[in-house]
Amino acid sequence: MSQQDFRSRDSRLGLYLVLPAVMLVILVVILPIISGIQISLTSQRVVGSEYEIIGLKNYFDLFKDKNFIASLGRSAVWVLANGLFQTFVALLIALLINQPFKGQNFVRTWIILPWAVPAAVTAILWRWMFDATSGIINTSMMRLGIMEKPALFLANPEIAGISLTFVNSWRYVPFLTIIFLASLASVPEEEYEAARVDGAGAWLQFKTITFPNLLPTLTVLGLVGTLWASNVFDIIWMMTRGGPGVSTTTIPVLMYDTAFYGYNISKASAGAIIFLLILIVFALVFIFLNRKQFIMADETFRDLSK
Amino acid sequence: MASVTLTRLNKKFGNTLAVKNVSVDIADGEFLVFVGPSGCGKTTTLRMVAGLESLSDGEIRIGDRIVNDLAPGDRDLAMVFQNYALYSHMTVEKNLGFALKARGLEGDEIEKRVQKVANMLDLQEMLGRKPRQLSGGQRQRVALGRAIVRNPQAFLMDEPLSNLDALLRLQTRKELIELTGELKSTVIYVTHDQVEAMTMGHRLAVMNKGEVVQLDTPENIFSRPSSRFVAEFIGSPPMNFLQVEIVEKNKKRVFQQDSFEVQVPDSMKALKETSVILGFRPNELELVSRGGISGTVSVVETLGSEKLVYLKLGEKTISLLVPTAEKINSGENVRFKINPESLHLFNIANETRISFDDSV
Amino acid sequence: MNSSISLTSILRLLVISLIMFILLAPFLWILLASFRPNMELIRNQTLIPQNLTIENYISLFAKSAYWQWVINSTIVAIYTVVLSLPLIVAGAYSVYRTQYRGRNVLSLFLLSVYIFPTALLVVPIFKIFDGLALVDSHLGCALMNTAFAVPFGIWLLQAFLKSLPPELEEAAAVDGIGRIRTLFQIIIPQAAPGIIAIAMFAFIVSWTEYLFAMTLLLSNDLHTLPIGLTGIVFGQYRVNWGFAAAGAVGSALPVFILFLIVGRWFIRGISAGAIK
Repeated sequence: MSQQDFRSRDSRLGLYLVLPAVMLVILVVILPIISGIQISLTSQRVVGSEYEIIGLKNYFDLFKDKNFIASLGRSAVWVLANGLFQTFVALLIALLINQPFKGQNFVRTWIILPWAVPAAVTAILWRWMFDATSGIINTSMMRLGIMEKPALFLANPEIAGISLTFVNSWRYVPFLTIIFLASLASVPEEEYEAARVDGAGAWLQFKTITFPNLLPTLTVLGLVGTLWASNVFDIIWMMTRGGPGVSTTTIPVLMYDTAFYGYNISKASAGAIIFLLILIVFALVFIFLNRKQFIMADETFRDLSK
Repeated sequence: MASVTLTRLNKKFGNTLAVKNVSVDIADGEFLVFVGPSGCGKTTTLRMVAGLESLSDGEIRIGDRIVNDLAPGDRDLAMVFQNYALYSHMTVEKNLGFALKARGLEGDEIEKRVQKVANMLDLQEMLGRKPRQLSGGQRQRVALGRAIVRNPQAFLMDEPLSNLDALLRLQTRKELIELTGELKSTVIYVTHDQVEAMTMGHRLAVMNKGEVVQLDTPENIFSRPSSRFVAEFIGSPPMNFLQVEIVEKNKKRVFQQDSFEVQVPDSMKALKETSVILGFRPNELELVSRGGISGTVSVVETLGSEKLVYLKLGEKTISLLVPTAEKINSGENVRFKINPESLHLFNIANETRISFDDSV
Repeated sequence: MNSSISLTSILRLLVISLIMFILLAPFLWILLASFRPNMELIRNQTLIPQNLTIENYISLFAKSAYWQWVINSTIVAIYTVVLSLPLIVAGAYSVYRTQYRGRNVLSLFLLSVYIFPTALLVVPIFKIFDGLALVDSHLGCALMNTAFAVPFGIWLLQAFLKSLPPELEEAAAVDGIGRIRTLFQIIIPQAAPGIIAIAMFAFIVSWTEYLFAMTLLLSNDLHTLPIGLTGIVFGQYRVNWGFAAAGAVGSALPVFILFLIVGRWFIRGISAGAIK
């Protein structure tokens, strides 16, 4: 038997193992994309209704639609605010919690609760806490004399987005923190000890030991986190339905609304495709710029079948 | 058990040649040790024999089978790893029997073999325990047992004693030698510890920078090292080296360097070079009260039954072993002499041994 | 370890306490609120409850379809975990312990699940699942949940797999133990904490899922907890906060219990063997 046989036997097993996951992804992602593109090129308004093929008309309409462009802008702001803010805060908290302290185990176990409970719970929780008349935040602020009038957290177009960003961060930061914690824990303690003996202060330790070890995780979370943030739908929908007015209508919200309440799935699909293309470009650029961090698999792992 | 024949093994990692033209014939029942400093290629060579690294070139035979292209599991070899690689979620008994079960042996046969090996290695009481409940030495025995139970054609051992403390290491060394002798096993053993190599191997393959620089019995390697590297690496305390000129003095030729002067013996009269590197072991020097060569004592190390004395000769430092009873202090002047016949000569350019008889 | 109480450590404890307060206090608050009558919640602004009642819970447990929702959510979650585990374990092992061309590309491809706006996916998924008779079925929901849990789950498990010493597999290879047997009888038991963690991850992803459950589950008696609850709570003109609070507690409770039992395994499982 030649040397080639065994490498291929190993790689065949590897491929078979990953095949089901790949097939699922194709079913759930590739097929719908194709279907979505198809729908977007038609004039279909509701699933199952009649339609004609109208080519790129939906796309052109959208580019001229001020609403759509504004939504794109809101999505961009939302992603920046959520993505950057959450990652930064999560990292800080992870660093804070990483050193042993009284109650560390309790914190490490329970900090993730906001992420683990259903989004519906989060929506109810915060809609109530933000409530203008009976919400705890307003009532206690007013009671303490800090505010005179209740803040319309969700009813004021100017701060609704901020309120939602806060809630979304409240939900996701713990999860990111846990991931960072796991990554921090994998740095060998000896490196820090050696640095301390050498007289390196906290910042230098962070720069030369912590950060390089964190970089792969940071990069993956940077990408995935941004993608997740841009696609947030449930919280926004449940808390403000995109309102008040259109102040919190990001693209996913707009598309859902257009599809199921505006009865125009072809236009919604077109909008989603445009958004998708933007995200693809972002992802490709991001991956390219950070390609070293994305070599996730160990290239030098010894092949055991030769 | 079988013989293992390595012919011109080469291994390239990227642009680096980690193993260069290694050719060694290991006889059936031989205990062969690959010894050398870190990075010399000994572990890579072992892994190539095991099938864990592919060959860039060369041939490996076990018995008379060419095994280059066989998967590790098809070569009928057993390996003992430095970190033991025990399956921590299985009991000792399961660890020992796992490979046999995977190969489809009958339950009774497995049990028989496991019991036999457990008795051999004094593990009967540990059979029901998990690795984390065992001491380092016990774990090492389980790793060994796992290899023995397979009845392989040869054993491969990758620094199996390195993780044991000094005392345990000595003990286990002795047991390993006895055991493999009894089983008449073919063993390919890798270590960086030259004392271990010298005491355990029937023959040693000394490696440096990917090549086998000397392949011979421990005695021969000790008494006739083929190069300065081997001479320095093998033997503890290490050999002294001094670059000397050969000059004429009173119609006799001497090796000379500053205050160091030793006559060239008759046996070496064929020497043509005008300068060589001399090698002499610390125990081959003798203190004298008159004559000889003088030097100043810089450091005295107490080794127990002997003392290691560092002497300064001009700018060079050499070491010699003296009995503990000898009263020597730092700063003193002492005199010593060497038997010229015990000198090792090495070529200055390529540091290989210069020999004067028919053997090598 | 310096056991003296320094200024920095007090400060740290304060900050951490503040953070935990922000994260966990809302739950305590809603728990408290669920025991207060709705009228009091709307009119009365006091922090300290005047009346305690269980009327909200009676509405939730006896007069709504709460238990049906819980059962539905549990069914979907179990399907999700059962589907996700093999895919994640196989995928993680494939991408991180075997070699073949395109391995890196495949692992990145799996992450592409997150790039596609779920809002876009909704319509085509509905059409596709309709053709596969998966609409209005728990299995359909579970399939979507699995698709979202698997890629990140693979990435989570890989760190754990990486922490396993390669000698384990090398020893198995030299002993002639086949790849598959090695995977099942050596790798998987060794990776147990990591596998528990990703099972929990998949469970939570499923339990919290809203969009596809809302889209795919048409019949009322198939509704999962988030859908059923928000349907009632936000479906009316004036929100019955007492009921909503009870509903929130009822929805958070299963997760809370899960964390009580296996919570510490989660962080342990995704830390690459450092907390051993």
